Amino acid sequence: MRLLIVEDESDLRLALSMALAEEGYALDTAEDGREGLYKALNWDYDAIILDLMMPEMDGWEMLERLRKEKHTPVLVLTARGELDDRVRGLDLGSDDFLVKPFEMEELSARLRAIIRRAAGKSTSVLYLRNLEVDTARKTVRVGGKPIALTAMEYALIEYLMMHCGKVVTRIDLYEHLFDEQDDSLSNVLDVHVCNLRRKLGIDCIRTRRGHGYILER
Amino acid sequence: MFRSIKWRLQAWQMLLLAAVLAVLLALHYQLRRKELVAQVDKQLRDALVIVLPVVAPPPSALPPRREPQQLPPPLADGPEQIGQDFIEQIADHDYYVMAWNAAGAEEARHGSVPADLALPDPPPAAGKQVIATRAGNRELVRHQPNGVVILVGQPLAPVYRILAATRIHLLAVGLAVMATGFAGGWLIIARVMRPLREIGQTARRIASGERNRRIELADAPVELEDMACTLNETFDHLDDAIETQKRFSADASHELRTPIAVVIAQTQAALRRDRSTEEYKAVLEACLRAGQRMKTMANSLLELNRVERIDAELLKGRHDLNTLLHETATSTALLSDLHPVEFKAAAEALWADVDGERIQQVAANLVANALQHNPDGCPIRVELRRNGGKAEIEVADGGAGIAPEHLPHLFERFFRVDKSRSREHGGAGLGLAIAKGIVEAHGGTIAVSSMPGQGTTFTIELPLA
Repeated sequence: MRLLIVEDESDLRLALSMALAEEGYALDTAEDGREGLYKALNWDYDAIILDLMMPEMDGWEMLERLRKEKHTPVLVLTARGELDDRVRGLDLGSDDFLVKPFEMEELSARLRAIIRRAAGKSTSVLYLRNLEVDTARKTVRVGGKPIALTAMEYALIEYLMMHCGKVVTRIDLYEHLFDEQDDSLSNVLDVHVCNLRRKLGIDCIRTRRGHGYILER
Repeated sequence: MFRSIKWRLQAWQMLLLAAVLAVLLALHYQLRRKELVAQVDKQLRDALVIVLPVVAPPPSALPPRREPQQLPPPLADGPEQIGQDFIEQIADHDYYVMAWNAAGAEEARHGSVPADLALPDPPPAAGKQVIATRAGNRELVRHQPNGVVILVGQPLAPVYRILAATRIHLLAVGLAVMATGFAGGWLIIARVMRPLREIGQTARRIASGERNRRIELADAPVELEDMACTLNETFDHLDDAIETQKRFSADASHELRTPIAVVIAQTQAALRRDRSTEEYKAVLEACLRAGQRMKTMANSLLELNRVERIDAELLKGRHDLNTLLHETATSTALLSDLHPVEFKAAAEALWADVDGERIQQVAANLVANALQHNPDGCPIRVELRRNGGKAEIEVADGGAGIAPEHLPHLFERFFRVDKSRSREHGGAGLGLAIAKGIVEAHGGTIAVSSMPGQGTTFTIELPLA
């Protein structure tokens, strides 16, 4: 999953990046609305964390302009928690609202919720036959047996599960699993897929040559 | 109940009504009484005329004294005959007649004469008659020139009976009028009081939270319009004060939320697992920065709070503003090599009674603001001049200027043109609010003018000594 954090307060941005990176998200950051809008329009993020009070272009304007083109899930962060602001934010197309100061646990949970809602899932645990992916605990079980995965392998299976039954192109995977700092070569992705197939021990990830991968129902 | 205007008005109007009624009814009663007595008097006079020929015939025609039954048959229809008839029926008519001769001896007695009746003493002068009330009877006493005293009387009991009935009648009328007056007064007072009651109700509603409601001036009577206007203005002021206070608390809490969010997010993220010393150090540094921002904020809030009741705390002395401002301009100019500060004093000394330290604080704040916004190399101008009884201080920069829509809010607390700029510079958006508070406590004004692209000028006016 790849996130965009748009926040002008550098210490807060760093704390969010640190915590979310450790949860296995690929992260891009932006310091103001202009930069945020540019990145949000050019990459397909799984979710955007958006501060409202920012220089250059504030969160309201960025959200409004983003919504004219894209439906990326947006979690709005704001120091103003008044009803009017919350209503305005939701009306402008934000998917959720969190008032500063917030708890990191709640932020993570809300983030997971808007991501899986966008993928059409309603609970944090995803099932496919005897495969079970718990997106809250970041664990994978096969037939009830826990499987130890690296962060990248987990991110890969989680993304495939979210888009289960659909072909996921290699470009999609690059866009959603790596952030702008990563410069992994394309064969690295194949290595991760290969390892994942081996660890899960089930042949569920099919390769569609020339297209990408698919997790068949 | 007696503190209610309605009841007081009602009581006064009932008192007034009762007084007027009492006078009128008493007058009516007296007239009626006089009229009735006058009737009796007339009857007595008539009776006297009728009985006179019988009881006290004129001396010329005076026959030898005889018993009444020995009287010769009088001429039919003559006055004597009429008198005789009258005397015979005297008991039926409730009259009584008595006569005394000149010697004071009883001469005649007719009808039911009261037992205690005696020759009036002294009798009226000869040839006169007197009418008077005695022991419930009306009596007419005539002293004939020949010395005979004749008394014709009639009990007043029938008159008293009529008067008693009249009293009851009048009492009933009085009560009826009072009742009508009470009901009518009640309705009228209620009508008159209605606007007052409505104003009260509106005020209560406002007090209980409907802050947008106001008293309708259109249907208030002219007498209440002033009061209603004043009330409405008071409500407006209170409303403004509440709004300002609310905004202030909202702003203050909002300003504190971001640094608190930094502390919580940094520490929670750091505590998720063991970290290297460098990572912990970075977290602590971020927390320290957030803490310092909160400290600045708290100090500014305290300062602002102090400025609001600064009048009592001003340490005023007589200062030459030229000297004060020159000190400030030179000391702040040292802060920046990039921006020369041009100081231009007034041609004459500007003596004013001010708190020198506070005025320097304001000037330093304006110069520091100008330094922040000025492009490199562009001078900042600090200029003083006299304008009538006032001193004008101008602080101008050649910066980017301020958009017209921001100008009205510039002196409001927590207002920042650039929402994030202060995070770099450490300001809380309170400096100009504090400056305004200080200048106004000195009886002066502070204003700003700005043209985008051509710089901003702050102008302070202070009264001279």
